[in-house]
Amino acid sequence: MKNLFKKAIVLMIVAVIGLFSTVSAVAAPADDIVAAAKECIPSAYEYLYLASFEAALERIDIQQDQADLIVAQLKATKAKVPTDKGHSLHLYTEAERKAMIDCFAYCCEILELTYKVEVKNSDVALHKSDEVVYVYANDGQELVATLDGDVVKKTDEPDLSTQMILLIVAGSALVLSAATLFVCKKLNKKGN
Amino acid sequence: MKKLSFDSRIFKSSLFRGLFLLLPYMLIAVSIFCLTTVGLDALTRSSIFFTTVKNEVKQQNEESNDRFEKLDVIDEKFPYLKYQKVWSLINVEGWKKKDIPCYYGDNNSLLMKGAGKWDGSDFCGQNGVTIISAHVTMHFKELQDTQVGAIVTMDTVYGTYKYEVTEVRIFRPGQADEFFYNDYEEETVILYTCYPRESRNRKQRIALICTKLEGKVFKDYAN
Repeated sequence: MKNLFKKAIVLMIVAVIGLFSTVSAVAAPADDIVAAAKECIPSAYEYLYLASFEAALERIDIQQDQADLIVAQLKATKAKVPTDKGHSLHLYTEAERKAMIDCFAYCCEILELTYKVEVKNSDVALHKSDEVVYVYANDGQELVATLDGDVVKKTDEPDLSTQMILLIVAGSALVLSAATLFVCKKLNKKGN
Repeated sequence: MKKLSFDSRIFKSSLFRGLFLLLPYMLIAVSIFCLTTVGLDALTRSSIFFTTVKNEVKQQNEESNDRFEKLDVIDEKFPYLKYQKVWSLINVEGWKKKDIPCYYGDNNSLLMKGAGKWDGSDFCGQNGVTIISAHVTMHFKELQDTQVGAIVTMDTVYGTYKYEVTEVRIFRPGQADEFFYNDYEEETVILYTCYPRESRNRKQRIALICTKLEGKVFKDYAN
């Protein structure tokens, strides 16, 4: 059940990106984008990710031919997923989920976007194994959106573990280099 | 087992000596890389860096306030705001900490530098709900001392917005849906952090729910 939920969350987010990307690509004015998004995606996604994607899509230079391809894909996907069953993908059939993910992957390819998925560690049981989707433009150089369904962030102690690890590595490397320099000197003496 | 000494053949081979001589320099390079990374990270959180960023935001804020002064609704497209950049400075009445930088995005690295706006929420001026978080040990230390009625000022790069704290709410993360997604009558800003500040085991959150008093709305979001 937990695994199913985990999968459902990531699939849901992935589908949202796909649908948003497809819809936004064709409509130039912001009004058209929002209106089309409202028509095509479940209402819960619209609230959660509309602001994020309106901003993210500003970064993408979409050509007409790309838009045409995406529209065709969107229509095909809509035909496969005709009913809005709710905001979690576990409510959809396997075939419907696959259709949405394929749509997302296709749109990313057309728009030259890349994405990576990371498991997060949430305080909230409901989001315990959530996966966050990071969307990149410009050959993975620019992060344009983070899709994280878990709104409430961990805001107690800042996480300094990366810095600590780097400092430990730096310290160990310095000690080791000193040791090897010492051994080198010994070797040179012996060599002479 | 044969004892390995400096007289061993392996130590005398030029290949080994060459590699061995390179090793300390490689290790020094690794440590320089690590220290530089940590140093740069610290620099981006230092007051020197923030002064520059804050001044830039303030300048843009003043220019926008002048430009939109006579308008009720801003007849322009909402500006493109770069992800992971500061888009606003937060000032809360009664707080010692001033001009808290608010980033677009709220991942761990951004919350190390300032407050962060959740990706899925609206911006000020979009007639919706703006959800902002920051660490209780850093930028939102004074949040739990805030009273209803305090004024929250958001000096964004596209103008100034003022809000009044209308409710202080303590909640568990799982309960956020109860009020984060409410259909508020007025534009709303929600500032939250961990609670209680004095505890080391902060399972709860505290939020200030702030209702808009002043600020221009963008035409695409006007009712």
